[in-house]
Amino acid sequence: MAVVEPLEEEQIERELRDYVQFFKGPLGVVPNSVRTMSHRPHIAKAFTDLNIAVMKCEGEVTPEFKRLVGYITSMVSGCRYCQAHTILGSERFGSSEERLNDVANFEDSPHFTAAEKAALAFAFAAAEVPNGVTEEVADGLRQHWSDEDIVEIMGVIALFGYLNRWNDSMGSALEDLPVEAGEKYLKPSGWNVGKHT
Amino acid sequence: MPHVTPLPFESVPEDIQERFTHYKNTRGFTPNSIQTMVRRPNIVRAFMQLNQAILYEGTVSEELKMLVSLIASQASGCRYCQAHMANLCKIYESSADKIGQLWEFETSELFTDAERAALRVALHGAMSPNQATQEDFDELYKHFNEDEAVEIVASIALFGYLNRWNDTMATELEELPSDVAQETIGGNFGWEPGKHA
Repeated sequence: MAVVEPLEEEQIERELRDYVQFFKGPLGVVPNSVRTMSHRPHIAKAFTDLNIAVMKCEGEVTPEFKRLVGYITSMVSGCRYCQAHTILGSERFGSSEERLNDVANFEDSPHFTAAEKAALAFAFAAAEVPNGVTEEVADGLRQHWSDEDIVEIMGVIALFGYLNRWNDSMGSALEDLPVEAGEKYLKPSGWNVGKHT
Repeated sequence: MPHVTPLPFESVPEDIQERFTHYKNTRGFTPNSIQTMVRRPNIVRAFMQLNQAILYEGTVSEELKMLVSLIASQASGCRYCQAHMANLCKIYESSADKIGQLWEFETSELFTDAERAALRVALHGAMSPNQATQEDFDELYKHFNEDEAVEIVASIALFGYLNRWNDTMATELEELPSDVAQETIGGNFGWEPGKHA
């Protein structure tokens, strides 16, 4: 059960309500996480801005791949709410069944490039507690990506540092669309809704 | 060594230079963390807004939110964030003893029951996998309302972003927070700069 009840869309003040409609693009819903944050409207507004800024792709990192980076950090930290959301997001940005099925075992998959594997290994290590990023892991990343792309990748990893703690502390309830995506792609890795009902 | 070089002040967009100068005036320095983040200016703009909305607005005291952020950073192991938050706890008038005894908040006489309830959620919410329980929140609600729970969990989540950012990037620690960390959490807690030196 959620720790704090999400506000219904009609309870959210008008300006913010219009603003958070943004999430219906990538996710199909205004997620419960943001509807809970809306108890403090400035936090929800600033978080939405941060989400938009981090997910904007100005270099070589694609929208589909950013969600897979988010998935890996959510897998490592254990937040099932975020796992389902990132798999759904990646699917909506045109990922393939092969990539969604393989992302948990990206190292052994033929469906990821060497550059992508370096970024996913970086995301994996960055989400470990304590932090597992070594000079070697960072070097692997720098061989394939510019400083600006690394800041975008790091932005996604950090954004999900916020979201993994938010949703797994709050027990945010999962919405129907991400549950369907989770059941479709994540069952083999043992995913279930857990506390997010 | 940091994995991405901070941008020099003169290459930062003007509106962001103003914010950086504000940080310098209020804290005594501009954090290196945002000087790497600024390679994507909209990320740093949104991040600074989120930081402002969570830590400096609302009805939970700044001091408690700084203590919550410090213990979350202690749980995750990011020494850069630990030093910064020890400094901010001091600025918001926690005594050196109180900062030094934070890790023993359950037994230290320097903490109230309300502070303990918030710190317990922070300690458990920053663990991986997440250890925050229904009982932790039942106790929190004896002292805080739902809107304040949003402020407290948002502080924990904000440091989910920052702990990952700074411990992954190996952000170089500035002199002032380093000195404050030595005098407050250097003894009991055994703080050292580690890779942030």
